[in-house]
Amino acid sequence: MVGKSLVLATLALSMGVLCACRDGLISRGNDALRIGDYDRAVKNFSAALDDNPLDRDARYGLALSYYAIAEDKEKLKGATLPLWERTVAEFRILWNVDSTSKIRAAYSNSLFYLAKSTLGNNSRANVLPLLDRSIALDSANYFSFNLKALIFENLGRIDEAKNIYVYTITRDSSFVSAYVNLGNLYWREGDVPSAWDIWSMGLKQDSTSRSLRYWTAVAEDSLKSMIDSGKL
Amino acid sequence: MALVDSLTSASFLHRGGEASIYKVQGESSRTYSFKWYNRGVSFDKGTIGKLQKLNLPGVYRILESGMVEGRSYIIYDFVEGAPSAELSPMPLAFALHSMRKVVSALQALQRAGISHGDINPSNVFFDRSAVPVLMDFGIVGPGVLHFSAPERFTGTAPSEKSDLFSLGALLYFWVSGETLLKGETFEEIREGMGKLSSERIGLGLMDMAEAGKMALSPEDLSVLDPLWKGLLQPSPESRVEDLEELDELLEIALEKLGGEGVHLARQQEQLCKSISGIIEKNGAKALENVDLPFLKRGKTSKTRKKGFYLALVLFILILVTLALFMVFGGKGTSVDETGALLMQKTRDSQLQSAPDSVNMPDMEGVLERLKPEESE
Repeated sequence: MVGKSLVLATLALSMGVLCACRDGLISRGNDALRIGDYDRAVKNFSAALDDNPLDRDARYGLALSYYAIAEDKEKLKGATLPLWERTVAEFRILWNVDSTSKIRAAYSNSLFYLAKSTLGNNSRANVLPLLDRSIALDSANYFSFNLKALIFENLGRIDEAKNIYVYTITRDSSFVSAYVNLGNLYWREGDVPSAWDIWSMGLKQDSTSRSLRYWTAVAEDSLKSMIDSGKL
Repeated sequence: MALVDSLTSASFLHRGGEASIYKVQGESSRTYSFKWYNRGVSFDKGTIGKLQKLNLPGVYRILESGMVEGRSYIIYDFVEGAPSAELSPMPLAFALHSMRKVVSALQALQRAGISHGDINPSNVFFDRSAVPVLMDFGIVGPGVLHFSAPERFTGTAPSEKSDLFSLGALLYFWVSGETLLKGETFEEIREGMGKLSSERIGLGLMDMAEAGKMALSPEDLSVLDPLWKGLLQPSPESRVEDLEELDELLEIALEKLGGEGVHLARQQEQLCKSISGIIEKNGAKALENVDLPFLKRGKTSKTRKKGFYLALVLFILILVTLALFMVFGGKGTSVDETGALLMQKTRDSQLQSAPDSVNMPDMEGVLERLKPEESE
């Protein structure tokens, strides 16, 4: 009895020490990630994964660190494809140990950025599977919807593109990009009144949008000249 | 602390079909009897439970019952004396007088809802003063064949009526020194049971007296006839109504023999001598000291408890340390919280730059190059 209790206590102590060490690495990685010290974050999370490759927090931390590094580079307009590939690879592994809703948004965003970056690298690349996966992971990722619609538009699948834009606006009326792109689509088709309708609707949602202000003004001018010329 | 944990030494006394009896010593050198049942055998917990709460004259005092080493046990006060089996035949007046004491004890037990179920010469001890003490309650089976009422063999629980039959058979043994029912097997006993009648019993005893096996006159033996008639009946309904009625019959029989006078006092004195002789004889035999596996349990139990509490304190300390570490020294925020913050930042940044970065002019530039080959 005494022996068993002592063995249990020792076991608990050992586990406690191990947990404390592991938590120490993750905690340091997390702190580094929060203050933008991404390299140190990668180092700590990697060390925790060396101890236990199944550690969900360490894997998520590493994936987020890669994400932050790639997104930083994205803002600087640098080459990001290898960074997003690395990020998505990490999220894929993470998905094997945690498929809960907590990681879905970040994984979905990574796929969006990978699709975008892939297109930047090769405009003929087929990124629709990446976007579909991104949307499947997070059905509220309207950036992925928006990019998919743009691809459809450029592939000549106009109705499908329109449906996506309308769907996006219906689901998230504050998503300005969908107004801009749908208006653009009508504009390219020569349907100036519809383009003006959509842009002005968007402008009501976000009066600060430079694009919408610009395009709404262009459409208004166009409509005026059409009226003046008797075409409307 | 349980009494069984305080036992320090044991001497073997007797081994029966269902249990072994030991003379054991506890703290302050107090002596007890320890009845340790064979594996798989136990006692009627209801009866023993009730008895543990009682302290009646003429009944052994049970101090503790339970399980040790996977076997049931009962600890009761050690009675220094001799079983009535070793004192029979005994003088008739003394037998009747002692039977009244046994009946009195059984009446008190009846009031507590307890029947013995296994009254036989080995279960009635006589202490140093030749006072009978009833023992070994709580039997689960029918009891000793030669002394059990016939209905007990059909699975009927012990009752006042079944005890009355056993008391008749016991009285017969006390008076004659032989069992009423002869034979060793159940069939033989049952056959003898079918032939029972007060006349046969009386005649049988007279034959024994004539043969010199007993120093009793036919007149003395005749006082017993109402007792055989009232007790040794195969049918419970044919027996006396209850223990009170039996006591009256015993009183009448005693009066016919001359009452509880000087005659009885002399007989009691003789019995006391016999009992002392048996005690001395048993004491002279070197009692076999045995090392029961649980005897040092008291000491080890204390050590174990101490160790357990020590381990418990250690374990709690570890838990508290870990909790403190997690509260003060552990991670401030979780990776999930950081992830949520990062995603919020990303979304804000995307929304702000979306018209320029996602759509126009960048994406438009990208998509300019995205046109299908066939349209080129």
